[in-house]
Amino acid sequence: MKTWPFLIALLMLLILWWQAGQDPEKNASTPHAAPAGPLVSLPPADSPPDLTVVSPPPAGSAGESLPRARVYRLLADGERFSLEAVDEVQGDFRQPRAQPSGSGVLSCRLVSDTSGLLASTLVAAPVTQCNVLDPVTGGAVTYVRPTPQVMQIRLPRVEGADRLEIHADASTAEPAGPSRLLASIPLGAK
Amino acid sequence: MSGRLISLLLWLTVLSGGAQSTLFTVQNNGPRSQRINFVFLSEGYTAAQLPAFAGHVNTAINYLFSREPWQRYRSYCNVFRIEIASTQSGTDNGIAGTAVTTYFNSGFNTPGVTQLLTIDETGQNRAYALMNTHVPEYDVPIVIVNDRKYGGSGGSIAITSTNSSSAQITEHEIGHSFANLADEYDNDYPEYTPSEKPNNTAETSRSLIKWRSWIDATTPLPTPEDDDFGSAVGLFEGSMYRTVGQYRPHDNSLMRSLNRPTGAVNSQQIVISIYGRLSPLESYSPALLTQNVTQSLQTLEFSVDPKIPSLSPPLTVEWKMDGQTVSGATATSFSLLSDTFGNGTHTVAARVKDPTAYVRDDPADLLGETITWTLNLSGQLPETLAKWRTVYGPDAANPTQDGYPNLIKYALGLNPTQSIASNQQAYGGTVGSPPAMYQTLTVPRHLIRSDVSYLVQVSSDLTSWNSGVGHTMPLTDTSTELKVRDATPMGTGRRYLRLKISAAPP
Repeated sequence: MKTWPFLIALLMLLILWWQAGQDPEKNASTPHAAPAGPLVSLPPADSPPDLTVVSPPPAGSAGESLPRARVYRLLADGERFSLEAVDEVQGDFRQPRAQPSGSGVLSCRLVSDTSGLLASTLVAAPVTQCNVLDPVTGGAVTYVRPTPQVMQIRLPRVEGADRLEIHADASTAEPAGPSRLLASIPLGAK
Repeated sequence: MSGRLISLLLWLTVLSGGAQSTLFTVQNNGPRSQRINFVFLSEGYTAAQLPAFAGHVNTAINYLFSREPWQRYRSYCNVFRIEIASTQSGTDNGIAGTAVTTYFNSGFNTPGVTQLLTIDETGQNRAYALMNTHVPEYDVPIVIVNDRKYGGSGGSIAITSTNSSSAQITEHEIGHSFANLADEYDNDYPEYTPSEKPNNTAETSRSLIKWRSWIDATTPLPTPEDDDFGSAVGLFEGSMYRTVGQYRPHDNSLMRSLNRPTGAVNSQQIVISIYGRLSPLESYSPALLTQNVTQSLQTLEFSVDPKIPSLSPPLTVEWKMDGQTVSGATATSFSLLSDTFGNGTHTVAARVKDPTAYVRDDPADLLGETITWTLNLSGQLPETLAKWRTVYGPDAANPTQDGYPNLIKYALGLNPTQSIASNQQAYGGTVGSPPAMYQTLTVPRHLIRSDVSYLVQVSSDLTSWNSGVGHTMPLTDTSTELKVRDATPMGTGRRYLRLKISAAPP
C-alpha cells in the first residue's frame, strides 16, 4: 500500500510529460533550431545566479549542425564595462550585413596577444537616458536611468583571443570620427 | 524517445526545486537567421497564471505590428515567448503596492520614478541565460511583467507591464535599442551629451541635413512648431535633451511623445535597421555562382526568392546580362539559352530591392541585394551573324541538306552541322472556329537574335507576300516560340504563310 502514492505521482508525471509532447504550439515550427528541449532546469528564483555556467548547446540532430558562438555578458556602467560571464551558444546565426555605424554603436573586438583583430561585431550601446512625453501621465517620464545595465555580445568562437576590446564607434561629428577605446578586458581566465 | 526521456528527467529536476522554462513559438515566419527574432519573457506570473502570458504577448505584438513601419515588416519577424513561473504574482510596488518574489526581480519606482519598471542585474543575467538556452538568435528581448500598473523601461532589454498602454513605451524603447534613434525630447539635461543620430543633428544648413531628402523645399528652417508643419519633416529646434542647438526632424513624433506617429525619418531608420540585419533575398538558385558550360544549346535557369512583406508593394526583381538590364525581365526566375552569349566569360545578375516609400536615403544599399552568376562558356554557337558566317559560311549554305540554310539556323538557334529535328520545324495549324477560323504558322526557336528580323508573311498566290496589320496577327512572340495567324479567315480561297528571315542591315 505504501507504494500507491509513489505510483500515482509517477502516473501524473507521465501524463504531464505526454501532454507536453502533444502541445502543437511548443517549438512546433522551428525545425532548424531544435532548441534545448521544451523544458530546461534553471536556478530557482531565490538562489544566486550562476553566471559562469556554460549553457548546454541545443540538443537534437538539427541542433548539432548549427554553428556555435561565444557570448560575453558585460556590466555596462556608462562607458565602463566589466565582464560578468562568458557563455557558449549554438544557433542559426545570421551572416553579418553592413549595419550602419555611428553614435550609439559599440564596436566589440576580439584581439590576440599581439593585438591582431580576430573577430568583431557592432552592437547598440545600452541606452543610458530616456525621457519622453507621456500622455498617460500627462508629463515627461523617465524610462531609462543611467544605472549599470547588463548587455551581451555575441562573437564567433576563435582561437587565441586574448582580450575583448570595446570601442565607441561614434563621435558627435559626422562622419563618425576614429573609434575610441572604452575598455580592454582580459579573457585569460574566461 | 530519448528526447522525451530527457524531458521527463528535467521535469523531475524542476519538481525537486528548480524553475522550469518553456519555449513557445508565437509567430514563425522563417529561419531565425533570416528573421528579426522577438523574444518575450514572463515575469511575475505564478505557474497557475502562466496561461495568461500568451494573451499578453499577443496583445503586445498586435499593437507593435499595427504601427508603422512594423506593420509592413511583420512577415520579417519571428516571435517567441519563454514562460517561466515566479514564486509570487505581480511585481514590487505594483498594483498591490508590496514587495513580491519574482524570477527577474522586477519592480516599479526604481528608483523614484513611479512608472519606471525595471529588472535588476540578477534578473537581466537570468533573462540572457534563458535566451541563450532557447533563442540565442534573439534581436529584441522584452520582459512582460504581470501587473496592470502602467509603466515600463528601455535599455538592452525592454520591460513592460500588462497595462494596455504600456506597449507604447516598448515601441518607443525599441526605437532606441533596435534602430539607434535618439530622444526628440528637448528639456535640458546638462549632464547628458547629445550626439549625431539618425534623428538628431546640430547641422542647420539645408544641403547638409542628413534627412534633407524628406524636407520640402518650401519648409522653412528652422521649422516653426505650429500646425502648418505638424506632420511635416523639417528641422525643429530642441532635441536630445537640449532646448537649443540640437534639432529633430519631427515636431512631435513617437521619439518625443508616446502614442504619436513614428515619423518619416524614424520609420526610415527602423527599416534601414531591419535591412542592416536581414537581406531582402531569402535564397537563390543555382547556389554555385560560377557555372561552366561546355555544350551549346543549354537552357540556363536562374531564380531568386525575395522576402515577402506583409503589406504591398512587393520587392522588385531586375535581371541583367553582362551588366545590361533585360527589358521586361522582372519575374523571380530567368532563363536563357547558353548560346545567347557565345563563348567566353559572361554574367547574369539578379537584383532584388525593396521599393518601400519608407526609405529615401539608403547610401549603403541595404534595401537591395544583387546576386551575380559568372558563366564560363565554351563550345557555344556564335552569338552574332558576322561570327557565324566566319565559322559556317554564307547565309544560303546548307551543309546538312535539310532545307534549312545557315541563316535560318542562326536565327532559330539551331546547330548548322546537324539536320533539323522534327520538333524544331515550323508547322501550320488553325485557330478559332468557322466562320472565324484562321491558319497559323508556329515557329519553335531557341532564342531571339538581335541582328536578324523575323517576319511571317501571308499570300493568296505565292507571288505577292504581305505582313502586318490587315494581313497577319501575332499570337505569341517569345524566345521559344513565334506564332502568327492569317488575318483573313479560312474559306476565302487558298492562303499561304511563310517565315522570312533577313539579316539586319549592318
